[in-house]
Amino acid sequence: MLEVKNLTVGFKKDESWIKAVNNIEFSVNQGQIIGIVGESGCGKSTALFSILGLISKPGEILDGEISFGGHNLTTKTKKQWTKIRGNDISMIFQDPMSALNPAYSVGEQIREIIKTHGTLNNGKNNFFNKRKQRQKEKEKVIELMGEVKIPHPEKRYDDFPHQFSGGMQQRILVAMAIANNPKLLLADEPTTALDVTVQAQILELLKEINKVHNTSIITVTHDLGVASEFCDEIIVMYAGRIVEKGSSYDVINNPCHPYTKGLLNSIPTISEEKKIIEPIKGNVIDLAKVGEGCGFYNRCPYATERCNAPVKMTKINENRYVRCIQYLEGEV
Amino acid sequence: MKLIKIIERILATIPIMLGVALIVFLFMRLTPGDPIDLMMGEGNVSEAEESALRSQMNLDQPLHIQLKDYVLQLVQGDMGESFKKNRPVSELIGETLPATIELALAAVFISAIIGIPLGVYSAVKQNSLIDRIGMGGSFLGISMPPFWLGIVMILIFSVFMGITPVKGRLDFEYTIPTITGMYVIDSLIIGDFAAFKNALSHLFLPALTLGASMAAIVARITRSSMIETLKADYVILARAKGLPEWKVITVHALRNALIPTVTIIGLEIGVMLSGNMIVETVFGWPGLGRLAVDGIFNRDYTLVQGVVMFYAFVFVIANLMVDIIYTYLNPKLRV
Amino acid sequence: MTREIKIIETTTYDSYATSTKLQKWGKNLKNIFKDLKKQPIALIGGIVVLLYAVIAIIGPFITPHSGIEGDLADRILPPVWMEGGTWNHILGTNEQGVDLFSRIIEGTRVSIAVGIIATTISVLVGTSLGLIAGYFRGWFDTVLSRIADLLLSFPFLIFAIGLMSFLGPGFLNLILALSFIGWVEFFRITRGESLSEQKKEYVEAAKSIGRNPIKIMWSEILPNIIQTIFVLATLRFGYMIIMEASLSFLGLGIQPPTPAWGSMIASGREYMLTGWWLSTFPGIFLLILVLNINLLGEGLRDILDPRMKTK
Repeated sequence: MLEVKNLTVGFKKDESWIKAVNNIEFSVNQGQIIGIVGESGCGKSTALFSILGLISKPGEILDGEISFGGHNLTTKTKKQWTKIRGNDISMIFQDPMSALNPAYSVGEQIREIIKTHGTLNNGKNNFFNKRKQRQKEKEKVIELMGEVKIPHPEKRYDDFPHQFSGGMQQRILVAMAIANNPKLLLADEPTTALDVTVQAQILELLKEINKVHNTSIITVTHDLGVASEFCDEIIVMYAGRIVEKGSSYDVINNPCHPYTKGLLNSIPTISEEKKIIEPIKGNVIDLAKVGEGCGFYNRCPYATERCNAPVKMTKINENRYVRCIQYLEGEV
Repeated sequence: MKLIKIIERILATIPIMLGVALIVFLFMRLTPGDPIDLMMGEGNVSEAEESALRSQMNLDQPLHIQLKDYVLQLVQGDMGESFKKNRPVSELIGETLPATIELALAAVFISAIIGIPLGVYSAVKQNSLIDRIGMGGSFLGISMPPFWLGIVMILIFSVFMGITPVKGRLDFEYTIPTITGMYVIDSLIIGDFAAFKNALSHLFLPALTLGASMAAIVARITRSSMIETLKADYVILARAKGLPEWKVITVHALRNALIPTVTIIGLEIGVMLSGNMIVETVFGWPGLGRLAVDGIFNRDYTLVQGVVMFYAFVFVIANLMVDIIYTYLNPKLRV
Repeated sequence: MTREIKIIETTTYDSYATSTKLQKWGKNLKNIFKDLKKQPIALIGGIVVLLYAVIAIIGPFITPHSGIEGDLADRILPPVWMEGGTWNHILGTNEQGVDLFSRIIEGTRVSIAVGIIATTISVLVGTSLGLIAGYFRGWFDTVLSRIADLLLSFPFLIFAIGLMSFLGPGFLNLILALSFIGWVEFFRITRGESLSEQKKEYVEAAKSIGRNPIKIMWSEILPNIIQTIFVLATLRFGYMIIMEASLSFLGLGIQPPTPAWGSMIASGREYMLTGWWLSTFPGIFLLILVLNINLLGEGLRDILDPRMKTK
């Protein structure tokens, strides 16, 4: 359904390009839930935004192809995008409070996405009976709000965003995103700003939508716990590159790349007894300084000189990939 | 909920108005020199007339009684009588007020028409040619003294180009009945297009002068507000929903970005009142400002006092209105 | 022993704190100049303003003619590039035969003087009151804030006109009137900043070791707000000059024959048809000065106070 090939996204700084996303490749099947995992600055959000063409100056897509339904999304014009966004592909954001316009009621904002794409009118706008169409759209909005489990949606249609709690606000965003039954839903750290209990609820909601509507979901998160619970497949990114790919069970339980291992080792767990938390030494490398070799070089306990040369993504199993020389040589 | 807050705010203005009345009153009474002497000027006035005037103006009473009477009179709308013109101050104000309102409205209109689109465009297309010219122009606008701008305008448009008249509101061959007191509107109402054109040509330069300096400020505020708003998440979301860019800018961004602009315009009304005095003087516009300036030069203290009180009153009301409108525009404050 | 050590520590800290603060301020100034060089427009602004200040001081000594006395036989001569103009009077003469160029130069003194003095007084009064009010709160704060609100309920110019018409025209009265309203803004800002700085931990720490409140205000709170004050003062400087010109225009500020741009523009009005230059050129000089002050102020703002950098 979606295929990302050789995607490179750069940000211009003082005459040179900093590659926030460096030649990444992955695909999503219909109905799959994919998680892109990594620390801040690894390029995961940039990758997500580029799927919807939302990269703006000083950023630019430098290379690659995003294939969706037979089209290449990297070449779409602004006008073409207005048909795709909110319709075939939707997005929900990290901070729901700031993602909702404080000046308009919640119901109207959800209705806007339906109205824009004329969903209830076969893609056209009914000029003749605006009032009737508006009523129909309102009903659909209330239905959607019910689907995302907002209590008493009819009463809350006219309420403003600041009158809702964080979890409710996120549900409103979800309602907006699924209004036109998109094939793909992009979620940029959807639970980061929420309390832990609410987090679980939102993830449950998204899972349900995935099951009921068969919507594919790509979620970006820095929380491995979320990824393991929620996603079918995990993509691990570091310094703009994908370093490991595989089913979530595999990646969590049998990590290959030293970075993934380091991540898992640095998570405190309640179940295991007396485990020492091992943080990963050092700091994330400055993206401007990343060369052609492995971006994890300066922190990797297994690194050798050879890691400074370009490292390819290698398939080690069915749907299992890793980008690491040391692993392939059994050093890890 | 909302109504109580409005009433609260209105009540809050009362102490301010009282304070203003106190200040104005104190100035009158505490300035060096006997007010009667200053008002009488050089003329030879008999003792009797002098003391008659003194008691008429309550000047022989102790200060606090004078103050009490003054405030009582004010509340009843009586601002005393102009000395030089021998007419009630409130009447004079009533006569000249429509002219000032007409000018002020025209100026606000011009500043909004020029300022807001310029600000929006500059924000959306930052560092474009129009942005740089626009911001440079507005920078010039706030550095310019309005009275000088007015004179230069007159020189250019009236003296050298001869397309606009130099002074006044209307050439004397025209008469317009007083419906609203605003010539431009009244002439339209009765369908006198010749008079309308004439009134408009008189209004043009002063409104442009006053409006241009305001437009500079409006443009800058709108631009900076828009730049901030365009970075907001909800603007990105609006794009992600598939809305065409113009809708993203107007429906989502502008709606929120205009809040500071509207606030500033409301507050600028106060500044415009001051600008009015000068612009009206330069253009010979028979409004409240010129009345005040005349009063100052004629040492007509009651008149000046009354006009200053009135200005303060309008300013306070304008601020109040801005507060109320702000509450309306920003739903977070409503509940 | 411990007590002695504490006393030594406190005094050492005091002198340490003051000396580091001073060093910080000194370094700040150097940095400011460095950054200013990076912003050519602001630099130009600063240079021009400096130029005007120099003219204000030495101008009257170097003008080709007197700015006050003139030859009536030479009245309303046009500027040199027009017919009838001479190099003797580059910008022409006014209705009393006074050389316009010289008069404009002499008018610089008035504008700059009024601007600087009025702004300085406003800053000093407003800032000190604001610091005290913000620190001690209580009735002092309430009373002053009410007064500030009251004064702000008048538009600046109207208040100034009112004051001047009652005080009478003249240099000192003008400064008094302008400062009378000018301090309020600085009071407000300083008070606000003082209030928010107070909540910060370092102030609480200083209070808890019993430091003199004045010392706290001077060495802890003030350095943090001085940059904002500086920027605002620069911008207000330009505004004061416009105010002075407006008041002089109305005849309420500096009276003729003392040269002042505002009154020159006013008297030039009568001669719009016969001598347009009389009103135009003083205004141009005024415009250039204020423009450059604003450029400088904006440039300083960009450097010193990034969070104010919205324009």
